[in-house]
Amino acid sequence: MSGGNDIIHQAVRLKIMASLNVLHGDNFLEFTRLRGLVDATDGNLGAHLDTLERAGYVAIEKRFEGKKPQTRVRATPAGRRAFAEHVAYLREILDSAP
Amino acid sequence: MTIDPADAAASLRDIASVEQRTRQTIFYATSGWILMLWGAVSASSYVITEFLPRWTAPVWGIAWLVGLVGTVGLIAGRRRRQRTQVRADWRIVYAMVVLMGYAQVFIAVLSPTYRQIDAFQPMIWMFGFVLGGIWVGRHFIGLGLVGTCLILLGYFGLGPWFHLWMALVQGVTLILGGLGLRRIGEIR
Repeated sequence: MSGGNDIIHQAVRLKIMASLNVLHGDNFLEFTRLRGLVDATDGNLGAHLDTLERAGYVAIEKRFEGKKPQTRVRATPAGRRAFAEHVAYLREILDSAP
Repeated sequence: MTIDPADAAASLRDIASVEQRTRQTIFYATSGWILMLWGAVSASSYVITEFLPRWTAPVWGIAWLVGLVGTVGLIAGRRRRQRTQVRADWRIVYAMVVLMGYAQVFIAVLSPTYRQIDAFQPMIWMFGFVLGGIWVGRHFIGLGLVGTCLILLGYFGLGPWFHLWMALVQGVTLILGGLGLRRIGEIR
């Protein structure tokens, strides 16, 4: 059994990766949309995204849409791989439970 | 790291829940565009047939064709751009065809008046929204119920203004509803 992923397993980060993993390719989720999907506050989400970005699991892009600043996030290929491995690990735990 | 089976099960449940909500969000974005398209198409058709009643049949035939082809185009375009895993997209088209088909069967069997048909056909769509909303999200239920009430208000209370009322109802309900869904489901 491969080990779990400490970075991804934290509850909010797990939800972030689950949500971003639904999108394919280079599709981004807007920060505010992601905040609603994972039930996090601005500060909480920002801190967890920072952790995931440092691990290379998400890419964060800041840009202007008209005059409004916008932050958007997508999963990187490494992030998708790590998430898939972690989900497989969770399923193995359940399968091997007595 | 050590994770016990209860924690693993809870995490998998969280994952499934967030995935489902994300797919619903993407679905809202696609269906928002579709609602706006149908709102514009049907509002225009009501206005045209109000002033050119002889053209009712061809106008609505063209409107349905434009709506259906436009819906297929919107879904195909969005899937190509986003490559999302939302299988529900094509079910919108299947559901539309089924609703349209059954509406025609009911009309053939019941032989309603033109005024009744004008109220019945959009109500079939609203019925579809309410029914679909039970699966895909409560916003559709609200949209369907509001739309139905507005149609009934026009049918029973507005006499000769019914057609123009329907143009307004279709325009406002579907276009504003579509804009609302797009806001909920924006993916960039």
